[in-house]
Amino acid sequence: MNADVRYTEEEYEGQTYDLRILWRLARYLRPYGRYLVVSLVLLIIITGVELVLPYLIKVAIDDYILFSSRRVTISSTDPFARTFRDQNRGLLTATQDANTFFINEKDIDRLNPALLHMIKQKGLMAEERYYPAPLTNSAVQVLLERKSEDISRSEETAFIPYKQLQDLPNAQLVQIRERDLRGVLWIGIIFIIVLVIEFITSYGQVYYLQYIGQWVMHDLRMELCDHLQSLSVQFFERNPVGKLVTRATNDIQNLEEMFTSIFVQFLKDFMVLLGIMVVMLILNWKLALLLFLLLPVVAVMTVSFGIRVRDAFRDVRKLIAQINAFIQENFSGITVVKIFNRIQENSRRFEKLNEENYLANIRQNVIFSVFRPLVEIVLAVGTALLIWQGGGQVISQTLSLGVLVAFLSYIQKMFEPVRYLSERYGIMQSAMASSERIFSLLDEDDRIPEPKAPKLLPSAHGNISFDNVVFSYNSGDPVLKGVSFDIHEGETVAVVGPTGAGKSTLIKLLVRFYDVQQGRILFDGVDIRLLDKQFIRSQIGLVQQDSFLFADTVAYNIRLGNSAITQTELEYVARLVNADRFISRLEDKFNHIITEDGATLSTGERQLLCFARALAANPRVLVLDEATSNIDPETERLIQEALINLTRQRTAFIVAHRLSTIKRADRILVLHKGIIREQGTHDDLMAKEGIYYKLYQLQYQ
Amino acid sequence: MKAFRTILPYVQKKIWFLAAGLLALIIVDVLQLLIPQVLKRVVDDLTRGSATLKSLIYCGLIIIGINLIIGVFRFGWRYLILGNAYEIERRLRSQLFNHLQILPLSFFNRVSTGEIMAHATNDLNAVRMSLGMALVALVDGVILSLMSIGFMAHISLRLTVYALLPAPVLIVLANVFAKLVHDRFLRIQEAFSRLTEKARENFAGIRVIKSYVQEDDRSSQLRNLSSHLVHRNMNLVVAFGLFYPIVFGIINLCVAIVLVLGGRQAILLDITPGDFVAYISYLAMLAWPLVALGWVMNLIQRGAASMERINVLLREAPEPSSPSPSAPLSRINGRIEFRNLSFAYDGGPAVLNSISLLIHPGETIGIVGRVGSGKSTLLNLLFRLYEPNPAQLFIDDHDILAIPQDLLRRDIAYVPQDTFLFSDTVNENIRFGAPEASPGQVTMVARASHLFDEVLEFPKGFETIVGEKGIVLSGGQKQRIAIARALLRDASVFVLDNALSSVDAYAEERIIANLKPLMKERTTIIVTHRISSIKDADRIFVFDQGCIREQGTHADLMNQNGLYVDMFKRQQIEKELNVNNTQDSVPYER
Repeated sequence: MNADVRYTEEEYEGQTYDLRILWRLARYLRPYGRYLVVSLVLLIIITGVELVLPYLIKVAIDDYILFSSRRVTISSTDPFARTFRDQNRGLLTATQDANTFFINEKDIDRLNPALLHMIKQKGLMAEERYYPAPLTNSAVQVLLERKSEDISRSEETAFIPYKQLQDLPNAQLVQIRERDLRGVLWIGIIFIIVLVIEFITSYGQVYYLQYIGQWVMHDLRMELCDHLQSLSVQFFERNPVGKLVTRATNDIQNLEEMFTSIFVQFLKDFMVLLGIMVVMLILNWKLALLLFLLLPVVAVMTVSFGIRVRDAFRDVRKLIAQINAFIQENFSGITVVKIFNRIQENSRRFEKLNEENYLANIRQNVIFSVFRPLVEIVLAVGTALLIWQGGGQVISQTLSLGVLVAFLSYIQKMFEPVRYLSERYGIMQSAMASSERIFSLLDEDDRIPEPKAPKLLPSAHGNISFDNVVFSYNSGDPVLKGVSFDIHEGETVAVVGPTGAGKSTLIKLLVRFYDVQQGRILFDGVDIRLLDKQFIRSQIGLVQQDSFLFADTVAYNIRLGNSAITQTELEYVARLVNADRFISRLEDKFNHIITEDGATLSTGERQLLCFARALAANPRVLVLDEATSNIDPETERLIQEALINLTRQRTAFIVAHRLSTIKRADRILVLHKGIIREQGTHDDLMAKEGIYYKLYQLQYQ
Repeated sequence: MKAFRTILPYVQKKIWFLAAGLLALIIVDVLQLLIPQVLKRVVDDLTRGSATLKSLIYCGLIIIGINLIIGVFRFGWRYLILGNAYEIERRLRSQLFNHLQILPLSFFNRVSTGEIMAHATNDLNAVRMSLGMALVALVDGVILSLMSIGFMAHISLRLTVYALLPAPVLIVLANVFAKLVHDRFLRIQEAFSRLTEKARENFAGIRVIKSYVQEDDRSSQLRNLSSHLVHRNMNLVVAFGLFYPIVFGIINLCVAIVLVLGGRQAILLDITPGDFVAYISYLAMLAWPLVALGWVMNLIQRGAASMERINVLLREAPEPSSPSPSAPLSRINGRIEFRNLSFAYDGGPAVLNSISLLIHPGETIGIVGRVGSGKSTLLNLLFRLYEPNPAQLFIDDHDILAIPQDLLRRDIAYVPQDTFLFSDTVNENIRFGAPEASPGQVTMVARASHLFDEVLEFPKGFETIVGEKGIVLSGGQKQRIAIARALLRDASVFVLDNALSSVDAYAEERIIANLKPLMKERTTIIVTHRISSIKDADRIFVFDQGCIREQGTHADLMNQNGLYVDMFKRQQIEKELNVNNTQDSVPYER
């Protein structure tokens, strides 16, 4: 049961392994280097594109919306002003009035700041803005004809005070500011082009990253499953199937979420942050550096938040695991709970746990609730600094208004990743826990050793010897305490004995699900530990008690992966084990799909299918762990007939429960408490009146 | 939405909390919308040249001030609304737990623990999410979008109309995508469950796979399904990968419109540069609610569906309790009478057929029979885990249906067949039915169950946690804990249901000997298939196919040459086969 495992799982303990886990995960990216490069390039483009908007707004404001000039009065008698004029001839535009010059707003920050300061102090530069309009513009000409007194003129340009523009009729203003209107239109067009680029690149980037993520998870999943498959049977007896399935599916899914949303987002955030810092430095390095002072503050906050939230998070996860374990246990044992009148007491305990969980949740909530506003406040401080220092620079005209506006939106963007940090933290933690669990399975190395240079047998005969075999599970009391016997080629040997005598263990050792602890098992005279595991297994057809069937067709269940087995052979083996009759009754015959746990087939039919499977593999040795379940006499007869065909011309080793099977064996071994106590034919053993005789009385009378 | 009626009482109790939280949320939204106004003032002052360093600092401080207030209220709503959601989750979880506990056993036969777990985790989670973050996002989204549209319209109505032209496309598109994605998502789920099933099969069938050397073939089958899942996922990516680019594309299209038309208005001096800047800020605020709306609706729908699933559980009828106002007796003496009792589980064949059996107080009764002979059903009825028919089962001359369950379960102690222990300490497990018992009493019952010395050898003695790694109790040890647990209850009726099956013959003898004095004082019913446990019982009943076939003392029955004798002989042989077996149970084999 899946649920049993999931809720009681030990929790991830955090941090020390984080980097190692991430590093280990990163290795899985290696085969996708090319795609990774493509998606990184796309990411760089996207980053660039994302930073464009504030810049375009800056251009719109500085170059078009507030396109203006300032008037500078320079009397030729003032030596200081003269020097200023001579030094900046390129920037200053002369007008009809010899003392009046205009300078483009944009060019002001190219002036020597000290000089500019002096000029302003002397009141030589007007605060008022003038709109520089070309004289060729017909609307300007109309304007000049009507009221020309406030408008200065150079050879090409009329400098119209903004105040006058305000009073103009709309149509005239549109004509005068034709240049600016065209300008913002172009900005709009450029922005739309950028949007198209962004659309294509971000779609491409999502696609590639998902592509990488999906295949990385596929690789990891396959590595995990293949690895698990290579582990010993003992491993599977220790670990419930549900838990392993959870690892291979849900835990990998968690990782995928981390990869596609967190990892990618981090990368993007990092790039954007870097991009913003560069753009800010280019636009105005002093202001940029001032704002960067906030970054360490945010970093410290983030780290201290990280530590706090990790503890809170752990508490929450621990408690919810406890709650789930409690519920799980309470309802698995509900009968006991009811009979022992524990309902109220358990309610009380549950209430307590529930309360603790609630409090832990509230603690976590408080931490989250404090962090986010704190980040916003730091951002507000940044904004205030920007307004104060940047605005100051705008006043002193060392910074354009557009740049200030751009900075205001860049600083917002800079804080974006930190805002969502808390939301991402949860996903990150559960993904880390999942990866830790996955990797710990990958590190599991419980295998039956394979010989370095396996001995090769030219052909297999099927002679088996157990030579003083001693074995115990988990170093407990030995199940087999020195078992020795020989089975000769072609012989059918049945093992009988009371439950727990160690019969099934003999089989597990023979197919090397486990290795003996003392003594040895020989196959055709060679210690099976020196043979290739797969060789041994392919010489042995194993039919187990539980008649395990795969949720696949009848045909697959017989031939398994061996496609060399033809349909004719399939039908032949099915006939030999008496499975043909019920198969022919199935709707799709051999293509009938067996549902989970073979619900449509009876126990006997399932067993016959397993017989067919063993026969199709055509092994030298048949090993059968007979099912104990009761079967109707008709099926019983079919099974017995099938057994005759199965054991013909091959060695057979049967853990037997059915009297007819036992009687048919060439030899019977009586295993009792880990020792072979008697052996012989049925009649021999009955005559002895020993253990076999008692077993016979117990079970068959 | 009706589904949420269940939690109405919880919401009502905290209605002021919730109202305060929502108010705080709205205050945060309003204050947030003020910030662009401050920026507008800064920009306009700077444009006009009327700004001074002082006024700038003033504006900066206002922004810090607003954010400080926002911080307080943001903390407030998070604390109140999300805290409230946690609180409701807690109450609902308790309600669910308490309700489930009083459901009849037939419910637990129908619904697996796994299913219960799914309700108790995923569904509660979904309900909490819909009451917490989804509620916040919904309110936040509606307020923020309406108000920012208001502010935008205030700056320029015409611009707002143009700027929001592409917005309806967004809503339509979101719906189209939802459908498109839904189909592909279902196909992913299908691929995922096929993969899961294959993985499960590969692990469950590992013995067959290994013994038929099918590792490579199975691995390649799994690989196919895993790649199939990847392709299905990519199929979704192809469609869903478009979603966010399109959404942001459309939002940015609005921005482009504002750049051109808003820029035009600013150039033509219809709006100030500050308005232009503030306008773009409002537009950015509008974007998020539009994007999140689909997500929010999804969360709320899922929450409602989960709530409904929980409601179904809460509607399950509890175990019938007795009309307790006039409880006929305050203590059970131990006279038990089955009067011609017949019983069948829900529409099944009769399991018990006209059983008539009178047990006197203080008597020790043995019941033997094969598996399925109806012994355990008899006990289920005695504890009213299932309801017998009226007037067929009497305790101290009262119909059991009139006796409160509490009383029944208080005065009848039980050692069940499957020894379910809780992953708690040995001590806690023994005290399970009598939490107030003293350590001395625990020691006493542990000795009586032949358990004491063994437990002392555990690493932490009685404080050792059962089932913890390393300490796996043997079947016999578990059974003896279960016996101790029942003994501690000091009840007037003592029932052992196959309670010594995993205990070896030696321990069984000792336990029976230890129990003898205790059994003298109370009615004892020993159900077993082992004759050795009941040899000394006052009377023995042999059950077969729901009927009593033989009865009498051990000696009587041995003279009858019937089922009992047959069983006895078999067990003699079994015993002989197991001579020297001093172990509690066989090391488990799977």
